[in-house]
Amino acid sequence: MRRAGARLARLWIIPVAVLLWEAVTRLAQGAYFPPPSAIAAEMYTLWLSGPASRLFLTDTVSEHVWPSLGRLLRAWVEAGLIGVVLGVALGRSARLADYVDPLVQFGRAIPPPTLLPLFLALFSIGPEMQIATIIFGIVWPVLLNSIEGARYVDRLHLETATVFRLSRAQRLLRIILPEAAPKIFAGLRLSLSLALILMVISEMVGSTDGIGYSLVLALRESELPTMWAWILMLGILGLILNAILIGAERRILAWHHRERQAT
Amino acid sequence: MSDSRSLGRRVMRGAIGVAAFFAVAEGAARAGLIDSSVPRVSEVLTHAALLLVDPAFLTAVAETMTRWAVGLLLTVAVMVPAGVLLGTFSAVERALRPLIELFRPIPSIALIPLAILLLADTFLVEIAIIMYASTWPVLINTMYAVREVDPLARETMRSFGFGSGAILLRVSLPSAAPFILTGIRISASIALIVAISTELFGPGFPGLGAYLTFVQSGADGIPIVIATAMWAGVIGLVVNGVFVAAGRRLFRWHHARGGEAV
Amino acid sequence: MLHIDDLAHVYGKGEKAHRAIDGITLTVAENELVSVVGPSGCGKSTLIRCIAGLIRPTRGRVLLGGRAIEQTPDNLAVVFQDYSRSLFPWMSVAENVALPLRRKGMNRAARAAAAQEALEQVGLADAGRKYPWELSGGMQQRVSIARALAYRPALMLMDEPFGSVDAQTREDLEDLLLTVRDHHKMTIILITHDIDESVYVGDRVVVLSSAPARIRGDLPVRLPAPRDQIATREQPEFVRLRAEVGRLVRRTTGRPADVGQPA
Repeated sequence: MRRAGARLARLWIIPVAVLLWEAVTRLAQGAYFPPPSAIAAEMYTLWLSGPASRLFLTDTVSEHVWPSLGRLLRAWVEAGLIGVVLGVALGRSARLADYVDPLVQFGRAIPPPTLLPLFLALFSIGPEMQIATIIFGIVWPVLLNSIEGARYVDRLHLETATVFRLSRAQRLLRIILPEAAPKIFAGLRLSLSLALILMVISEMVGSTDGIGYSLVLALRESELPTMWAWILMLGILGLILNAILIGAERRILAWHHRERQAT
Repeated sequence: MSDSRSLGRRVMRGAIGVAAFFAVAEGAARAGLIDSSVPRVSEVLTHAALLLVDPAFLTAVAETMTRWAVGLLLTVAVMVPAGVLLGTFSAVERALRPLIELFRPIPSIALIPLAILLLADTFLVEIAIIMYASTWPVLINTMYAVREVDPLARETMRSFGFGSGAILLRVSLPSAAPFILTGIRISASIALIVAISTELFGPGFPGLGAYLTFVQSGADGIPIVIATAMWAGVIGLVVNGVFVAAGRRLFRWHHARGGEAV
Repeated sequence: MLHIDDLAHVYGKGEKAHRAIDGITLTVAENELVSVVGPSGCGKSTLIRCIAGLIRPTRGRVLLGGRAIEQTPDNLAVVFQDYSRSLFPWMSVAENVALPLRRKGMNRAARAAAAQEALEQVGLADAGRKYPWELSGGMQQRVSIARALAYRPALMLMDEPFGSVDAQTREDLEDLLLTVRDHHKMTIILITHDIDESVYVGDRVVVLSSAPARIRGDLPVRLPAPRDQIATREQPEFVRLRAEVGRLVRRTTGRPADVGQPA
């Protein structure tokens, strides 16, 4: 209990910063910097002023937030699966990895936004285009990290597996995957933050709904508090998604963290 | 690790892989196995060569890379000292950390609309967004690198009577330098992505993003877009390679002691 | 020339307080080589750091040449056990040795000459251009010693300097230390967990108890000079002294001490 209190106390700067922000924006009265109170009010109107039956969530949430999130998560999961499956397979076969390495390195180097026009032309405006863009952009960190994680499995562990006649499936599930897991998770985290960026940019440029779209709409209509609200929404989203992933990772990799602390 | 994979072998295998990929893709396209809207490899490669002599393309590259360089340099100039400060004075770092953790997840491109309203000039907007995105790897890497300097190394200097300034200059900074370079390298590739993203945003922006937007709607749009993307990839690889090579030369000692790949 | 007066140091406060040393009073004469020996974890390192001015003791004081030590005094050098972390890998061997000399207001040529001389004394005349990580462990520790020597301190503190090298190298380094001491006429305090070593090199052996460390014994070593690894260790006086020190150490822990085991 004391630790939780101590941890909260370290966040003291946040309320201080918010108060400062409120004070400065009220004094300056700039058109482009509405005070946080105004932004918060707008956030309420925008998202939380709906009927109680739907948890107070408005239509805006169901029209823009859920679709965005849905596309983001779907793309992230698909890219994750491709990356992990392919990556672990390549990691275990050094020869195969050699053949594929330049292609992978090159693919990773292509800045994902450059392919936006390509996917626009191929799929035209809509969710497929966005999901394709995101997947193509974020598969690389997962792929590369999975390759590396699967490649450097302790030889001694593998020899033990051979000596005890474990089947291939058991070797994969009980030795290779767990040992590769820390690196795989690192790749998944990277791909999540990249996915958020790509989701936004693809919605700004090629969409009729979504958070990015709403953001640009607010710009065009010069609705400043609305614009700020959407910006903050993205930050909050990033924070929450990352926190969930880190939490899941801590649970799944508890053994790994404890081992590292012991050494 | 057993080296039946000498460097020569690996390069050969890689080359075979690339060639095979091209051959298969080209073959599949000619055999009609792939949707006709996806261009053939031969088309893309032809356009890639043509781009090299296209003045519009070359200008666009120059424009993007200029903004990239300016944004990155400014970020390094501001954030490395800031990171050193935060790494040295842990009380300040602990106080500011929640703010850093709150600002970091905000995708820099989400700030493009705000930047446009505030700054009007597209050059400034792009630089600002690049700086926002590049800040985090540089700042955080520098912070942690300075913090994690080996206390025994510091103590050794103190035991010979050196003061805090000398310790910072002669021990903390050299120790932290390889990791700071890693942060800059990561920021460099993020900055490139963000630069192009910003340029895609709308009219008025120059550079590769604008070039892509312009070119995509014309004839041969798709192969040219792919070719442009390929060149952007090459640029990214070259930049990364330069950083890695610089790291290896400057910080030979770090790699010799089994330091992590910088 | 060194007088330690009722030195005590406590880490932490309240329940978590750890009393490292408790009331150590010791006088060391000029040119003496005092071995300080005791069981593992008994606070020997804390003692060194208090003498070197790296820690402010919670009680008592240290007088060097009659003056109380507040910060690290100018005529003192320390050789640490872990050379790999104490030598700077981005500098060459010669640069490492010359670095402390910057504080003595010597110009570059003078520093280089002093460094080269020190390296010659430790038998590393040709190693100046190399980097520490290119040398073996024993050679790196010689560089550490050269660095301390070049500084021409009045007092040299050595914190288990030979604990990280193999037995053969340890013998060579012990003899090197004796040679250097004869040549330079400096006062040395050598902390070690190795009972044999403490008797072999020392003019005097001080035995510490386990934490909180106090002085359990202070034995003069009357063995002929020059010392020889084989001949000296055969001497009955050596055997007697060694046994006595051993008994003193054991008595403090009540069991066959972990003394004599590599740290």
